[in-house]
Amino acid sequence: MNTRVKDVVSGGVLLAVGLLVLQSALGDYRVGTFARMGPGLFPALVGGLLAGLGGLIAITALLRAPGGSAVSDETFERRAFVVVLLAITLFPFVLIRLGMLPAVVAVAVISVFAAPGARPLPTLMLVAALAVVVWVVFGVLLQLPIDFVRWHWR
Amino acid sequence: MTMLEAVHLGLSEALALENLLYCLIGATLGTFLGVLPGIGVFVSISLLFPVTLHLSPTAGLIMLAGLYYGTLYGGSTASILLNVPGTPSNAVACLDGYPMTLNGRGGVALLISSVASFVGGSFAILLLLAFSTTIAENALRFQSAEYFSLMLLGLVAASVIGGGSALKGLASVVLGVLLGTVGMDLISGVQRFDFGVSTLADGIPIVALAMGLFGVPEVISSIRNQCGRNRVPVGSVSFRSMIPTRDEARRSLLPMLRGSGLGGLLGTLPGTGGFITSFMSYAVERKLARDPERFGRGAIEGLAAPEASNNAADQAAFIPTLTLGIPGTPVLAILLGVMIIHGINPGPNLVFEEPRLFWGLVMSFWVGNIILLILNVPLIGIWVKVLMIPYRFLFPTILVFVCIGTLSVNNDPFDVLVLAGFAALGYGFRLSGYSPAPLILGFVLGPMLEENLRRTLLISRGDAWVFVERPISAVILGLCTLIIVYPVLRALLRRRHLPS
Repeated sequence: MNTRVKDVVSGGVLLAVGLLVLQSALGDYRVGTFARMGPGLFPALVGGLLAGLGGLIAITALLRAPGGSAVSDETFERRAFVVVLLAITLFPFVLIRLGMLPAVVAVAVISVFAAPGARPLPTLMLVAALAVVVWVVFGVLLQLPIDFVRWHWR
Repeated sequence: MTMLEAVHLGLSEALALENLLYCLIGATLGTFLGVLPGIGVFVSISLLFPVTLHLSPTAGLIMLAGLYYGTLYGGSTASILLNVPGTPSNAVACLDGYPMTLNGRGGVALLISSVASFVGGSFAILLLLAFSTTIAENALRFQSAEYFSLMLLGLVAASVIGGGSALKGLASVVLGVLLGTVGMDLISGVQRFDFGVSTLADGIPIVALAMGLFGVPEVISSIRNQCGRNRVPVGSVSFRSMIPTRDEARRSLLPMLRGSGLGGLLGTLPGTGGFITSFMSYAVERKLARDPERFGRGAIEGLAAPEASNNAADQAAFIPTLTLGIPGTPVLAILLGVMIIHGINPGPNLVFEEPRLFWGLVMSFWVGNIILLILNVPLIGIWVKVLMIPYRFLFPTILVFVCIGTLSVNNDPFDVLVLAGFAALGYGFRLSGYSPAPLILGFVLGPMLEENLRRTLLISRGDAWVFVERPISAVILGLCTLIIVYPVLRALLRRRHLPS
């Protein structure tokens, strides 16, 4: 994707978000007057501003000569993105079901695959070391009120 | 209170054993984290922010501040030895610092960068000592209208000056303000945009937001580059190799002072951090040099000036943060968040109501900077070893700590899902060329902006002209307009000069 397409898409998304906020702020909350602003007025103003800026970003991108600035600054790292987000999203669920240490192991084991060419032995050592460090720092030293391993799950 | 009394009170507080200890821990840990590539100030502060909630407010803030300048300090080590900037502010250090390493002057580069950082930091601390009481005294006369305008100036400056597209910066800041409205409306008590989730009733957790927007995307986009990179040992950096020649010392003196001046003065403006000023002072030195072609090939001036100026700017950013309650940089927005959690109200009253905390914090900057200067010389061997830790082991560790750190603030697993959401948004920002820094600033200042707007209009009975009728507010709003209009005008003029 070149910069122009990115700008049109991102501007469009911001425009849509701004309009949604505007609609929700005016519809769901009391607006009031300028002298006595209700909870809806400020979000409505800001939402409108966001929609305007999003629109401007999209329009200026459309008006620009196509292909003019095709600088590809960041490449989309699909593998890293998917794996890292998966690891983070799983953390709270494993935590609730099995406890902190299994959650740490899950995040570490999954995220290792974000980089190609992971080897089993170093990974195992890393995970073991992390589990010990987490237990010592957060369990023994800071005494977080969290089950480190939940034995009686259902 | 005279300046001497302030210094005395501050020193007695900063040198109290507990505070000194946390200053040491913060500065050292910060340097350690700053040396690690891919960990910037945001990540290091967000990682340790939950820990500081267990400390006394003064100790907690001193430790966070120590982390802040420690990370900046450590970042230049990675730039100089590996050509990998630890933090964006240190990117300029790569330009001449890394060539110095290639020329076998790496030790000298490290020493000069430490000394320059110290000089820059000290200059900004002097500014803080000299002006903070005066600024706070004048600001006490401010009413909600002035506050509103001042916050608007901070937001506009942060989004437009920050580099990149001004429109995108403004969009980012506005989105941040919008996210700041989530949670309970302070005036009416109505829950806004919480989507029925009880966790969001207190607003979006700031640690989840900051780590999601900065930490995780940084990890995602460094994984492939960093893991593929072979970390070439730079050889040992001995004490002897750090001693500069007479000529090197002489040539770096003036650039250091110029860099400190530029960084200290510009850094005071809300929104201009070390990143911009370091590039500016590099440009200045290059202009002033008799032989500019040496720059980029290991010119010591090109290292000394930006290193002094980024530390001066990042330290001077504490001036608006502490005296007005308006964060000088997005990172300091998090620091203000910590203050509020501890029940301390940031603003011009801080220096008068909490003089021990205020001056203790200010003087701890100096203590911390001296600790860094002393520590960095013997520890440099260890930092070089830290640089060799493969990123393959580093990034799963960072992610584990990011998850636990987010969780531990409120002990709520839902916060980690919020983190994942903002990580996706932050990566989207990176891909499409938006800067997340203005968003954080908007997020922290947004609720205060709304409160002051509503209060002003309540007093003026809905008359919006008060903002331009009150002279101070009018001047500030004029500045805002100038900042927005200037780039547009420049773009228009430039287009006219181009042959179409």
